[in-house]
Amino acid sequence: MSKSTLLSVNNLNVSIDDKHILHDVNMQINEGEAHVLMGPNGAGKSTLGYALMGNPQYTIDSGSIVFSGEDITEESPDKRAKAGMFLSFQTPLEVPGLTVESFLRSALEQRTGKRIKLLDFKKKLAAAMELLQLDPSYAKRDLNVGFSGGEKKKTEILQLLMFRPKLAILDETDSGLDVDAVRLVSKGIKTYLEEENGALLVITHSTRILDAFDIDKTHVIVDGHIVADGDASVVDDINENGYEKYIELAGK
Amino acid sequence: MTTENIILNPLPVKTWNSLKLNEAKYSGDIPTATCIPEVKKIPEELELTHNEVIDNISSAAGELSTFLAGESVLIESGSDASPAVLDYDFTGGKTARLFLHAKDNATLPVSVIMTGKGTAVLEIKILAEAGSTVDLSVVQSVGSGSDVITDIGCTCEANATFNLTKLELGGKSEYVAVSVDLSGEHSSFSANAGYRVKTNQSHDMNYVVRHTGKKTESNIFASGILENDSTKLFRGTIDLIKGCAGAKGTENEDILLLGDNQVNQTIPLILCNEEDVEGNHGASIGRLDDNIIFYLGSRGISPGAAEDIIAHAKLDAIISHIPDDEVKALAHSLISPEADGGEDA
Repeated sequence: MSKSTLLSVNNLNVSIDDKHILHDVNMQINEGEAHVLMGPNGAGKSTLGYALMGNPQYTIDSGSIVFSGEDITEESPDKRAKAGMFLSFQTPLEVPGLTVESFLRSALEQRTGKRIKLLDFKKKLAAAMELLQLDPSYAKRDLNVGFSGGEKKKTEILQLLMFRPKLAILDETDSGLDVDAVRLVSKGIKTYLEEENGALLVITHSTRILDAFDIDKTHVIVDGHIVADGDASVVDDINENGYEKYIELAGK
Repeated sequence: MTTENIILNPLPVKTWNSLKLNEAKYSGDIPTATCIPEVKKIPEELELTHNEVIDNISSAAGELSTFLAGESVLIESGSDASPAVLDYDFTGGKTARLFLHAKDNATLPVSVIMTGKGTAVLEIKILAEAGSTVDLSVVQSVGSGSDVITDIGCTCEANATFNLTKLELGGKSEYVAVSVDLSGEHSSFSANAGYRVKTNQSHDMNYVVRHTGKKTESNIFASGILENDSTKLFRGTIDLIKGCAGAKGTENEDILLLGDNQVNQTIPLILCNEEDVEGNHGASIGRLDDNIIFYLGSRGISPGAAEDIIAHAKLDAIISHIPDDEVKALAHSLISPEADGGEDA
């Protein structure tokens, strides 16, 4: 049985402060698929992640984003999130005064529009924190305040496990992490994929995190243009030969 | 008794009159009816008596003291004590007077709850003897059409500590005066004040700390939310008086603006007549950061809900300082989205 389309990006052009960043980007992600977006520094990878999530700092000049059959191009970030989209930030924000626990509970209630039973919530949170080897005391700490880089990334994956979105966009989730932290974050992503049959768009430079799951499709972006689409072998090719030939493709 | 233009919350040293910051002028009712609290909790280590007062404690409330008389309550502690809880219902307009006396090396934790609809005037005077600790928390949720005037004064002897937690949620026009004399060596004062000034409401504060003892320390933190068309004035004076060598005073404000047309005024005043001292002031004032709105939005939280969550978190941080668990729970319920603050008829 063929999988149904979850995300469809159609001829998307995006700018920030009148600077044209993404050019006619097209991408289709089906339910349960794992896609990888690779490219050299400044290629527009994170811009695509932000544009998909609806960051108001980025202007959609033309094109459309269709998610779960609905055109969400003009929708606000919270409506996209409620529809099942999630972005793991490259640099997660610190929110003083808002504890991790209180934030997760509020967000879950906002996403579902229902009151969450405290006991069920605490059980689910404890299990997710244990999986990521996050000390339970972090639940009572202010969101990301005073967290190390690794702890912030784990907290992003904690949110992934709690929210269970249909599509998770992971923006450089493995950057700056040591081997053990990558292993734990990968475990969290794998659990999400297995238990939720979720879809992934992994934005990355490195390939360490890609060992955690099977890649369905790889996209290569250079200077805001998608210059190549392929299977997992594209990742191996970039690992061996770098981006040179893709940069040349962009120059044509 | 109806008054006209009585002076409340005067700044200890005046600035230009044209700025209209020197004092507040209050025209309204100073109730003659006395408010006797419902004693929700009084541990046996504490002694509660009626109609005894403590004299010579300073006030930062200006002319208010000339209007205060009537019945009062005195709570004394001579040892370690668990929290006392007093509930004042100001319905109909009332005045209350409370005196707290912590004897040498004693602890005296007291929570005061202010409720009801009508003008509420509360005077609290405190004597913290040597080595004692007074933890006072005041949770104010008087009806949103009422005037609320609170006058707190404290004298701290050597090594005494006064911790004040104030949560101000109700009232149409609120006036808060806090005067602390750190007269004993190594005495200290810490204030954590949280407030939410709703649409068309006003909030006027006057904190005055006089450091006369050596190596005394004060720390004032005021964290608030200003909604549409609200007005707030914070006067914070740290007076480092000759002879208070080694003293340190700090005042900080953190204000979140929600909506439009707020009037937010701050006048920090650090007076210094001693060389070996430190006085600090800081303020953070602004709207919710766009990046935080986007981050919370990407988790399914709308901009309006994000504002509420952050506002809630600010007050939550203040509530964490309340020593009594039941009062803490009450305070949490008062700031929950379901609480409407109790409208006046």
